[in-house]
Amino acid sequence: MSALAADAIEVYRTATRNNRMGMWLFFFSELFLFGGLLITRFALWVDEDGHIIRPELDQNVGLIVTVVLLASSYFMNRSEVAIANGRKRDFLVSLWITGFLGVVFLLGVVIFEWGLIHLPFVEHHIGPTDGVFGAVIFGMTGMHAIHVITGVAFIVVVWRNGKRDVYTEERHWGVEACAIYWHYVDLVWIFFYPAIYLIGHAVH
Amino acid sequence: MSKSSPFRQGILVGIALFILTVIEYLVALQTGSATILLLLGAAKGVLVVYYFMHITSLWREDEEH
Amino acid sequence: MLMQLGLTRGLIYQAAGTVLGMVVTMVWRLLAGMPLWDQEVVFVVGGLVGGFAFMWGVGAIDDWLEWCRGKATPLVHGPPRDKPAWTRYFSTDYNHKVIGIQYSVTSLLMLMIGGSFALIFRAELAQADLQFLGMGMYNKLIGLHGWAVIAAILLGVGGMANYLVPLMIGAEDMAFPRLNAFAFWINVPGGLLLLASAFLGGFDAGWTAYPPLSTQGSVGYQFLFLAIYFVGLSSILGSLNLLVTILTMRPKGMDLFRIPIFCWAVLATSLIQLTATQAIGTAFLMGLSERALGMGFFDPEGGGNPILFQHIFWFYSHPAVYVFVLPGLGIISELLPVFSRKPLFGYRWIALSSLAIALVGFLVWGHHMFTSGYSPYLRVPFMVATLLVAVPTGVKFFSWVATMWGGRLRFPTPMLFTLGAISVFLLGGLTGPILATVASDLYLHDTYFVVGHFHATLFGGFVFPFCAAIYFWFPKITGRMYNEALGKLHFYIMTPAFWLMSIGQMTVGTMGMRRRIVDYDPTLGGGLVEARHLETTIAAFLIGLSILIMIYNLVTSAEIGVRAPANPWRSRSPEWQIPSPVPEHSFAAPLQVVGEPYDYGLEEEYVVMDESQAGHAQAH
Repeated sequence: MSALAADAIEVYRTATRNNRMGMWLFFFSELFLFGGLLITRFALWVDEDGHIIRPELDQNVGLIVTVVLLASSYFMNRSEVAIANGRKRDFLVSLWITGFLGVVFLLGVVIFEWGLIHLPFVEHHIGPTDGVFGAVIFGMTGMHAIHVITGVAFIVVVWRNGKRDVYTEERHWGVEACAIYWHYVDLVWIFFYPAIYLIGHAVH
Repeated sequence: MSKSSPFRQGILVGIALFILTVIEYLVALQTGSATILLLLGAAKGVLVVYYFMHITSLWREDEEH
Repeated sequence: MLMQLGLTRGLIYQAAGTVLGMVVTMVWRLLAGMPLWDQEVVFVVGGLVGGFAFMWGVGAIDDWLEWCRGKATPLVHGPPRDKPAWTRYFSTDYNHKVIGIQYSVTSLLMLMIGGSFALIFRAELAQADLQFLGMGMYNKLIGLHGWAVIAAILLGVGGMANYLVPLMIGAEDMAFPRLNAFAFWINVPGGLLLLASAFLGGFDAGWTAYPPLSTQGSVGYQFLFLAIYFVGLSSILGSLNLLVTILTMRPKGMDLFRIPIFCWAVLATSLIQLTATQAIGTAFLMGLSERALGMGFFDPEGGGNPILFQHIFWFYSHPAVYVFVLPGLGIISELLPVFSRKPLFGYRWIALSSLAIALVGFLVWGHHMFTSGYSPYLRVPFMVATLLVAVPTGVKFFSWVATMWGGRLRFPTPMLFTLGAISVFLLGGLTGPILATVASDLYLHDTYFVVGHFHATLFGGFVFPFCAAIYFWFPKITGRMYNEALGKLHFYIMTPAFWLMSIGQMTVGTMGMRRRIVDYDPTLGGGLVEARHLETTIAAFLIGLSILIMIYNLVTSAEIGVRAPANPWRSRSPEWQIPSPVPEHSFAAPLQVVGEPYDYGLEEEYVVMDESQAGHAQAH
């Protein structure tokens, strides 16, 4: 490696370190947004005696979309490890699967939880105007869904750039940013899933 | 570290996350305890933050993950 | 020519985007079988699309779009090639000095707009009974005054931090120049939405936008919610940028306890802005969706809780007060050693007190809600935490006094404003514990005493230091000296006028005058309330006049002022070791730290330029 190239790599590494710190500070900031929503959930979903309650939701939907999102996180990680080891094909395929699973997650929420797209076999129950249950569910899943949509858009951009050989073993900050962003979206859901579907006793 | 080990690590973490999710679900069938479920969630969160998001890369210098 | 300015393009795009967003929403509603017109949804989507259209039009996201297409986007520095140099101030520019000026000028503009709203309703309050202002208009104006000035203060804080921090730590620019430009420009559609809300009925329940009034009031509230979302986004992204800059871009040898003290204030401020801003975003987003989509977060009918809004709102809005004042207090600490020719007393204590104020500030929000009816047991911890803030603030005061003690004081305009800031902030600070104590707050809550208190803290913590900073760094920015006589005139009008105004407000408060009320009983306070109100109004107009003198001074001095030397104040700070005005790439060579920042009276320097590395900085 020539001295000039080594210098350029060093510059890139410094920039990446700064970018990484910026990204994590952004996550730290978002923590307060999602934390605020979680606090809202625990403040509003209580009965007169102060017990935590939750609405009666379709548990199968909750479990399936959660597993789908976790699986997408696994493939995202695989994709990042692949580009770091120079396995371009593996990187692209894994990234594609991640984006696909992200879309599946979104459709799951939109069709089965929100009932925005009516399908004959889906029984729909709760809307945004249905008191605090509706408000909090749509607030939490809606804010999360906005992040999933941006994450999927990010994946599409990185996938297209990846096909054009923009990323190499040493220089793939774009992939890393996309990956940690996607994992962050997953991390949020890790706490939202029990908060919405599992914690408290169900109230009709 | 051999080349395949990060791949294997990813698979192991993915399996651990899946198992924890199923445990969460089974716990919730018995009790809606916020403490237990949030602790399980925190365990999953730590796995994601540590293994998938490489939080250590923030302070560890010059190491390729 | 006009069309070449990013700002013009942005405004056109915003107008078009707003209309487009509204039309698309209406068409979509029609297709979905809903009634065509629902002002809540239509205006929200229009405002949102318009805001992002502005960012596209102004060119703040051009480089990111290129990046998305997989193209390399090297950072272009310097004035625009084929256009006059002044146009860069009206277009997207990545130089932190340009962005700092953009922030500061926009801040002064908003400050004057917000101030003139106040003058209008102050004129109404000069006499009892209704004279020329209707009740609805009065309510609109108080809300607009509040948010316009808060936006102005946030912009001013961003201006000082953006201009000064990279210069003070010897960095060529901020860590993320494009994000920096984005964070500035998003304020413009935000500010426009804020002012435009006046045409949609305004937000007439005060700036705090408490439900249920805000969820039932005019549609102007939706524009307020959106505007604060944009301005808040700017806070978050700007503070993120500043944190990374301060933490990673210092030269070798400048450890964290050797940076100029203003950077510590910015560090503490940025921590608040980065995190707490999300809370007001959440609160306003909930209010927005409650209005637009009927999601009943705060509607008790479906189990919602209006007090929840107050908790989330104040979780930001109290720490936000420290966002407003900490940079100003940093300016005071920065300027006092220069004009006292003595080291800053207790550098570490001042640095850590900023951090302490910021962190304790997260635990005190409940003192705004002593009368809201939340659990009485919570009042005591909130009271104790609030009183605790006085400790680190006291550290600052004692250290300022000790810095001046025995120094060779000089009194040019910036020093006068620094001293004025200390005196006014003392007034605001000392009235704080009275309001923090539950027993007295129950009586003073929502009276003009509160108004007097926070005007004193914000003038002492922001307006006076901001004026000091403008006069102090004016030679560095423009390369010319301001007019000293006019500067002193500004000071000697504004300071007594402010004292008169603030004490007048507090006095009518103790007489029983409530805030946000258009009229009052002239027999209050034994019939003296009207005279106090008249004094307050006259004082407010004097402050307005003094600000106009400053604007005149700045504008004319930038053209015809005496040429400024590189270091007219004999400061040790890095930005004074380079020519005035600051060259495009600030430092010709990387800095080397050889001494302490505030060792006035000692021979050795704080920083020197490493000439052997000259030109290295530009290479990247």
